[in-house]
Amino acid sequence: MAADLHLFTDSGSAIMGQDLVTTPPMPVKILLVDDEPKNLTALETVLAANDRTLVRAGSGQEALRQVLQDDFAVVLLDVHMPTMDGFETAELIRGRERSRETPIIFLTAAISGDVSVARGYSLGAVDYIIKPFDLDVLRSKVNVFIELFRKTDQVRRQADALAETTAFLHSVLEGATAYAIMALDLDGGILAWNEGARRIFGYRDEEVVGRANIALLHCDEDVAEGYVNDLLEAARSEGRSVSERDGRRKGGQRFTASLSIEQRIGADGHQVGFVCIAQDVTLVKETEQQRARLIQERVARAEAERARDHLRQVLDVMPEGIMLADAHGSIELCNAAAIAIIGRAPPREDAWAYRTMRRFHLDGAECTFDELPLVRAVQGGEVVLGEQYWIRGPDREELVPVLMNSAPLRDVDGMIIGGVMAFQDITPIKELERQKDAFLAAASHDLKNPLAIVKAQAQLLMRRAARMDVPETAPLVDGLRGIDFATRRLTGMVNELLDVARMQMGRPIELDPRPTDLAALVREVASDLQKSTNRHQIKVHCDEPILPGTWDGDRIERVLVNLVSNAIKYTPAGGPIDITVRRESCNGADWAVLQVKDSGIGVPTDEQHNIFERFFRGSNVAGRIEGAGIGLSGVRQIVEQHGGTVAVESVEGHGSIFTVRFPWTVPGALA
Amino acid sequence: MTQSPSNAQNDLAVGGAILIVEDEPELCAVVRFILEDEGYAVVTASDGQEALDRVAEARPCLILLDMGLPVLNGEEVAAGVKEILADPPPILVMSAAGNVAERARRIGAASFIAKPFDLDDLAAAVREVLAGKSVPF
Repeated sequence: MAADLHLFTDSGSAIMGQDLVTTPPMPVKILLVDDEPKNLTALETVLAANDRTLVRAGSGQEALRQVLQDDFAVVLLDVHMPTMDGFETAELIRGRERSRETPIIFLTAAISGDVSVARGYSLGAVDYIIKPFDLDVLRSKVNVFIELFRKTDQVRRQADALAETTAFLHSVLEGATAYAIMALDLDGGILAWNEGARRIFGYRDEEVVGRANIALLHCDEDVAEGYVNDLLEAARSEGRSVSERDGRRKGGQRFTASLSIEQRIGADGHQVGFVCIAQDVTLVKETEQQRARLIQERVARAEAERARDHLRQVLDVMPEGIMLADAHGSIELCNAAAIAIIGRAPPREDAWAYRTMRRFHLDGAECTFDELPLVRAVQGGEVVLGEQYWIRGPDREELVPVLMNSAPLRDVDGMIIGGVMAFQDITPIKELERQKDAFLAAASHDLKNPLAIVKAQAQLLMRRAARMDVPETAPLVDGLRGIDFATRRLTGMVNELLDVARMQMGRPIELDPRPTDLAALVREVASDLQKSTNRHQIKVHCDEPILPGTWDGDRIERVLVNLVSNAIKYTPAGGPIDITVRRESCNGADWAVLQVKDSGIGVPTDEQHNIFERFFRGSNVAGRIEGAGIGLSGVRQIVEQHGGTVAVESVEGHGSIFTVRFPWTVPGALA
Repeated sequence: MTQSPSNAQNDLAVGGAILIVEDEPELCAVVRFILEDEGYAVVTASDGQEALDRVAEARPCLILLDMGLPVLNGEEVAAGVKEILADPPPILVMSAAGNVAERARRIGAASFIAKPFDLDDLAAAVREVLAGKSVPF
């Protein structure tokens, strides 16, 4: 530890004491004891000097008083004194604790015999000086003792200072309980360690100090792999080595240890071992990791915020309203278009913030919370496409028609983490629809009212003619019947035209279900269309004389006319066309089944799913066979509005079978 | 307000006249002729407001109502009738509109007939409604 003392000379000078480095000679006191004042004066004269104080005592008693008060470098003691002689006085001086070591020089006129000399020495005298003095001898003897006193005092002070320093260092070392500080020998043997080491590693001194190697404090694999030796070797060659490895406590528990090993140089300048300082940095590590995590999270948040901001800027440009909700339904993002439609931004912290909106179905019924597309997407994982609602923002008076699409948002594991809703103010579309409806209503009104007048007039005239009961009216009645029949056909055409217009606009047609005999309807259509061709043989397959049900007969007739006309049109070479009509029971419900089979050019397989789309035309007919492509989509719409389906089976070049199925009674229609 | 001169055989006319509300005068004339021919008393109106005036005066037993009317439309007439009469007469809607059934249902009509119609069908529909035999639609 002495080698470390130099470390403290700067900061520890107060502890080391000024005395250690004092250069002026320490003032000392010399006690002169003689009953003869002139002897004392003579002594003073001889011994006087700047570096000392001479204290006179005229008797043994006075000498004793003085040694009680002060420390003296040396006492010059006259042997022959009245009352208490020199020997007695010396004995008493020696008996006092303070003056036990004070050197005494006896002054005597003559050596009065060996006995007294021996007595003097036995009482602690260090010398005798025979009177009369040899001045030089006296001076030099006294100087020796002064010097001795000074040296002794210096040594004592140094020892005190050293002890103090040692205690200080000890307290520092032992007080540094967060650090294990160890002195190692050249092989890593532990020579000393501090409280911190005891606490960190958990061993008692007797288990380690002077017995164990630094390897004890490392994990087995580090020892086996030579890691510990490498550390010592590095410290040896480079002066210092540091590491951060798992340390091992007594009992085997591991912890993250920061370790620093430095060379320990002896007073002779040679390496005598190592100083090892270790620290349990588990907490530090955890704190660091925590801080790193926090920083990482903050960076990630900032990144996400930037990405969100970016996304927002992109979304704000979009004409569609976009809302993003988290898994709890809190609105995370709401773009400018959404805010424009709703009227204000929903508060972010409010789950399902758009609860504040009123929502209605198209038919005016209030839409429940659970019916909302975004709620269905987030809570049920449903993908909602193209649903129309009316919404009214919290600050708004008017209802806004919107088209909503919604879908859940999922993480990589498929868990729903939120939902997105895209919605669009379809006021212009609704207005267009309204205008279309108004147009259709006006067209219907304007076309049918004149027809109604013509028909009613014709029928009225027929009635009147019949009442006249004269033969001349017969051709008149025939003509009127022709007008009446023509208005019927014209009405049918107007209805079909209006239906087509409605379907082209994507509007449903209004069915007019009435009691209808399907068998009669099929036979009539077959017979009518047979009149238009003699290259095709239209045959009806129907086991029942009548098939009464409730449908919109005019529309079903249009379906059948369409299918049979197509069969004729797309069987250009001619051939049989078979119409089958029957009643089928399926799951306790009755279904009407209509089938039209031809042997014509057929429909390419990969186009069969498209042929019921509006305006679709088969690649093998486009440009060769006339048609606007409205027929089959109209067929599908009418059949679907009856609650039914239409399907095609076909082999290109070998003909097609179209099958229409619809419930015996149209859903919602009352018989 | 014109009473049928020719017909006393139709008992159903006893309860009051049939009000025809139709803005096409020719059609109105034909329908009137037919109904009078069937023995009913008939009053006519050519717009919605006139229809309500006639309802108040004549307390008809049946209203034959066109929906596309000037001044007040069919829906407004139906609503007005209910305000005027505590026990309003049945309404038979006749309309050229595509959604005639729907509109008739909405105003609580007893039945409907789409224009153009056969006169026989019209006469039958009137008979059924007056006999309380009209089928739900």
